[in-house]
Amino acid sequence: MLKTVFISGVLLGLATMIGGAGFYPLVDHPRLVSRTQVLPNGGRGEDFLIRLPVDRIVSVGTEGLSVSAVAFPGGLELPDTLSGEPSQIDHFKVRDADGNVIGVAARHMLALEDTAAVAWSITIPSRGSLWLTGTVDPQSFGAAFSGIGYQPGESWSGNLDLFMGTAAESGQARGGSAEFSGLSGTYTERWNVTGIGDAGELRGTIALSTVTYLY
Amino acid sequence: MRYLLTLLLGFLLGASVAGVGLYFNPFTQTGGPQPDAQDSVYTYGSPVTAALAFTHGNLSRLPTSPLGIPELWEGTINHGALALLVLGSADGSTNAIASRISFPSEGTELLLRGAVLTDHWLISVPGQGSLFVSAESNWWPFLRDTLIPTWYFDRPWLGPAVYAPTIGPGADGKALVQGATGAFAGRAGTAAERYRLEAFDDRVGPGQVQAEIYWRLANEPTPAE
Repeated sequence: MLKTVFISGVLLGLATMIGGAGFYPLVDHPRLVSRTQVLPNGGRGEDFLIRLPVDRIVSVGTEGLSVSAVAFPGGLELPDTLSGEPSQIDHFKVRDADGNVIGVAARHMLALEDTAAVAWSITIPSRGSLWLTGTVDPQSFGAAFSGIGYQPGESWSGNLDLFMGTAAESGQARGGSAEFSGLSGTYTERWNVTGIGDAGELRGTIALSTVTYLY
Repeated sequence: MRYLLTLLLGFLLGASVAGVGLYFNPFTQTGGPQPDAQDSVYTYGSPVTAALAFTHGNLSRLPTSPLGIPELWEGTINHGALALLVLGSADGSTNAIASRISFPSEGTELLLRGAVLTDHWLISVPGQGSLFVSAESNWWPFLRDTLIPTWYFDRPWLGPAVYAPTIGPGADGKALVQGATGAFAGRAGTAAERYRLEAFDDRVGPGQVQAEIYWRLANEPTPAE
């Protein structure tokens, strides 16, 4: 009888470990309720917010594609081999419409012939990665600040609304991974700048408003 | 009481045997695809020590850099890591910059798949364009052979070692590539990674690494064209 109990224990231990290895969720990312809305004419709308400067993680680039090309953290530089063509590389924490941090975004802006191309990769661990692409006039950012009298190197406060592309559309949603694979649509990228600090850092909010469809 | 102790002893023995079996589980030792002649191959150094910037959720002993970079401390992202990498083409003619956002995958299980890491890359070649890469990598062979023995059992590291960790999410076990802008726009393809680990440091982990990411896009002109 004791032998039977012992063998039962061994089998139980084996089954528990193997079952646990196969079925126990070793990784389970916290997921907040997705702040999406069904749109009247079809599609799904979702807004993502980035608050500057608190949500900035890493920024580096060359002159010519941003207001001040301020690197963050200070002193970060692109190597010489990458500084020949204008580019601006940014990384931010991303919030939902309620202001909760839900993910991390990378934004790459490159000068390509007479325009600048923007690519966003917004990664939300519990949902996957959403990919956005658009084009902007590389001079528009600097022109808007010149128009309000801003001089590079100075601090400024006020209120400036900028749309990358147009107010109707900044570019396309290109699907992504996991929950976002199989989606297409459009997005608008709106920068509401309320100030520029002494060190050249922007203050304000970037709002990414997406309208996506299943294709 | 005697039966209960016997059952417990048997349970512990069974669990231990299963644990050892899982540790050396051959199903989680799979190697990923290797590059071939038609792939665009880009190399980079250690994502930890050779990156332009590296940060994580402060749940790891890996150092962040540069000084002053914010940590990903919020509860929804604190298992992740962000690396900003400089990539060089194999012939040294082209350089690219890559943002790599990594999180442990919810597809991790130690019976058949291993310790799976999800990587989302945004790679840009200045003057040419950008592309997205979605990758899943099984790091269990690295954990089993290198990190666990060295960090947790103070064993000497038996390197160098080569790891080809890519296992998906493509059906052929490769990562998926989607062209984003410029010359890459509208083109899709596959990618994979390979690491040659030259040194493993007790403190910072992978110290000296030769890493490669290689991809192939549909309609890509061959070098001869």
